Amino acid sequence: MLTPRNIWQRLVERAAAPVDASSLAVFRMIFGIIGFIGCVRFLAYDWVNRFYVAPQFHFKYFGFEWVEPLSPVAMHGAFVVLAILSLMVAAGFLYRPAIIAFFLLFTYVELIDVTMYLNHYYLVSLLAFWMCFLPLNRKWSIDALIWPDIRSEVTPALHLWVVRFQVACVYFFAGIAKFGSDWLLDAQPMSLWMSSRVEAPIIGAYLGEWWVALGMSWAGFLFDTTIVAWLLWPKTRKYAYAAVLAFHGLTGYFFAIGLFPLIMVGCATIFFDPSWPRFGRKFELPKVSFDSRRLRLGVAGFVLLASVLFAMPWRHLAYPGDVLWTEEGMRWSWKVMIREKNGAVTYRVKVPTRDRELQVTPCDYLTADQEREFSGQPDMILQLGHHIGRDYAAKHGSAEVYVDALVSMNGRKPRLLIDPNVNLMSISDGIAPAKWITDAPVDAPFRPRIVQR
Amino acid sequence: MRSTHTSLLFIMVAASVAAISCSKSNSNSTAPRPEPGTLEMRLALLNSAAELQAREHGLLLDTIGELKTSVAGFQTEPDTARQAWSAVAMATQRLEMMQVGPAALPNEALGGQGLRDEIYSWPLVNPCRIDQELVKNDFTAVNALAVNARGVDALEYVLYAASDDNACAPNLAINTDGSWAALTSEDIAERRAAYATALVADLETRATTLQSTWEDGFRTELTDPQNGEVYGSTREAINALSNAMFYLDTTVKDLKLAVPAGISGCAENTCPASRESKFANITLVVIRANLEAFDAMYHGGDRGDEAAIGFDDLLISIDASELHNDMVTAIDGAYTALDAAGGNMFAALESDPESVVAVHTAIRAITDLMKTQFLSVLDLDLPQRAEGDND
Repeated sequence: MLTPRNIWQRLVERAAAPVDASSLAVFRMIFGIIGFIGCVRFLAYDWVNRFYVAPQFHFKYFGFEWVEPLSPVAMHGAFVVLAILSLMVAAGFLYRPAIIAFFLLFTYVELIDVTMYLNHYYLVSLLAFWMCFLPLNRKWSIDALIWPDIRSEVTPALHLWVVRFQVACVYFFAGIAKFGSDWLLDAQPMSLWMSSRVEAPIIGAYLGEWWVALGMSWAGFLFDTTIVAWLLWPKTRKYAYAAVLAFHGLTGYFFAIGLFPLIMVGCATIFFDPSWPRFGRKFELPKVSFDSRRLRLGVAGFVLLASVLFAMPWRHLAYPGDVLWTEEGMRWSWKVMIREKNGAVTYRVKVPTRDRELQVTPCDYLTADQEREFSGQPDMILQLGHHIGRDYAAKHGSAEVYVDALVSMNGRKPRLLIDPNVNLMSISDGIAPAKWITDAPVDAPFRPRIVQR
Repeated sequence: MRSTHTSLLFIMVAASVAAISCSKSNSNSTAPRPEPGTLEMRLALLNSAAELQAREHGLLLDTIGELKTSVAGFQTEPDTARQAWSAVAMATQRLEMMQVGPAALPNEALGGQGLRDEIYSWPLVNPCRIDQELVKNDFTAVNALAVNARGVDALEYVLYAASDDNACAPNLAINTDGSWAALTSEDIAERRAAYATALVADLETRATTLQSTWEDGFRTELTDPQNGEVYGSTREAINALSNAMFYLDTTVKDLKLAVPAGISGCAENTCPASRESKFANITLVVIRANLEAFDAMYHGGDRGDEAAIGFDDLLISIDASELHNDMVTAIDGAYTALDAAGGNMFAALESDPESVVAVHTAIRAITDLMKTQFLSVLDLDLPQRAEGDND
């Protein structure tokens, strides 16, 4: 009979079962190497200056308003340190302190400005967090050479579950997010993106055709929702991984998504047989169990945190309206590249010393990167509105701030995202549904003409 | 007052004639029309833009040639030189909207070499700096001066300076050491004429450099972006055109209109002193020239020119005719608002400041569409957004 106690016992037994530690050791190396490449890339392209030093205003995360950037030199230093820590993780040298420091520093950097939010950075933060609790230095590491006592060919299955869960979340929820009429019926924004890439070799001539975009939209949806299952099933694994390479190769070619394809191609190996890095060399699992009080605590912690992380992407259902329009519940939800939003934002400021409303353009305060990101996101528009309001109040005694935020979503006619009659200084951000955000458009997105050949 | 109106009328007519003749000459009705949604359509758009730009370069050089002749007689026939300068200014203002490649600043556009500033550097122009050069009375090395003391804007000050006063603060050397006070009216007039002559010669060199840089390489970069070194794709090249058209937003709307009209960046109700071309007093006329150039960029040439492929054709070809109609309505609305405000911004700000605000509102209607649906439907980015990560 299945009782909660039985279920728990079975869960612990399975979590304590030994698995080959090889694939997790390789995962650690992949994670560290990609982290290193990412940091060097930031420094080489001068992105530290562009994203963290140049902006005079930073968009804060709700609850993390206290996070401030360091001095320019220290910001560059942080990336140098992150690069070194990444290499230490890859090599498994002082692994535990290195990954803890990496997690803290990387997450700090990501929390400096909402403009920098990317799903794959969020993934790196989460993986680093889990890795703080996983002894991924027991095999193929410098630590294991220095301290032979920690060496082990096997590890509890729980450790594999943790990483698999996190990577699976990305694919699964990225797929679920595509379940909408814009994506599946109107092929938007895929059609918008593809129509400008007609010079791509071989397939370029067809990319301007709407049905091709529709096919690609469905392929993306089916790929994301099912790929984890295909990768886990040994019979389909080879083909599934070929599909992973093709999918991420194409997205990397077409879109500026940085290291995301590389991260996912590397992370997807975690769904392989744990012994895959032995390349067929025989390995017999010892008949041991890792069951212990510590492991049980680990299982409980994993179940608890995994439940929270699994629930996060569904939270948009608690808000009225379309999450792609309101953005309430958009972040931390693996909604990866599913909408094209472009906005024109103009603030109107009423001050007691002037008869006419003043107009303030965001570029007076923001960099071009920030302006592009913020113009479709109500909470960021509100945040800058508050900043402008404080700025003008300091000069003119008081200020009311209104905003004309015109937004086009997936090629639709632009419409107001925020009620233009609401004084932004009278409202504040929070987790409750925002009444000052307008209703999402109900008309179909832009659909281009089908090319006749 | 009458002479101001007459010259304004002349400038407006000259600008319109120049615009029409330029656009019409872009016509090539024998070329087959590319299929919608194809690479050929995108390349045709780039070709039209390149053709348009090349002709504008030619027009600028032609007008500079006229100015070179008439500036020699500036002291005896100042109005002739001023009218010739106005034609140069109109050609320059049209090119302002076309800062693609070498004309643009290196940190703002791919292939940028900052050649625009060498020809016209508003709002950097510094009249005091020009008066300091008049005191020095050595115009042999004008080309070595900073951009704020030469170019079309410096010429405007020299040709239109209405009195023998200088533009420097009382505590600056030319006023404290008596060097300006020592100049007679004749000295000042002679030196202004000599400086103008040197400035026109320098301007001709700069405009020739822009044209040759364009023709000797950059034009091909734009028209064949896949095989060039500047743009990696037609998308990037078309984005460069769109970026240039954002001059209407960042400069025309936010600087030329919003500040003088007191909409932003102005401590008073209006700030007429911040207007462009305040010495020639043709602020709204040059804004019209900017708008006409935007119109031409959007249409790839003249609106009625079937052969010129512009953004309008690209939109219509993918069934975004509604957006195209909205764009044309907004552009026409801006022309109407400009007509209502007249050509003299100073007078408009004095008598009916709301007419200038209306021009700003009408221009904003265009740029709001540009920033939203236009960018979305054509899959373009805002200017100055260098490549970064996304997901």
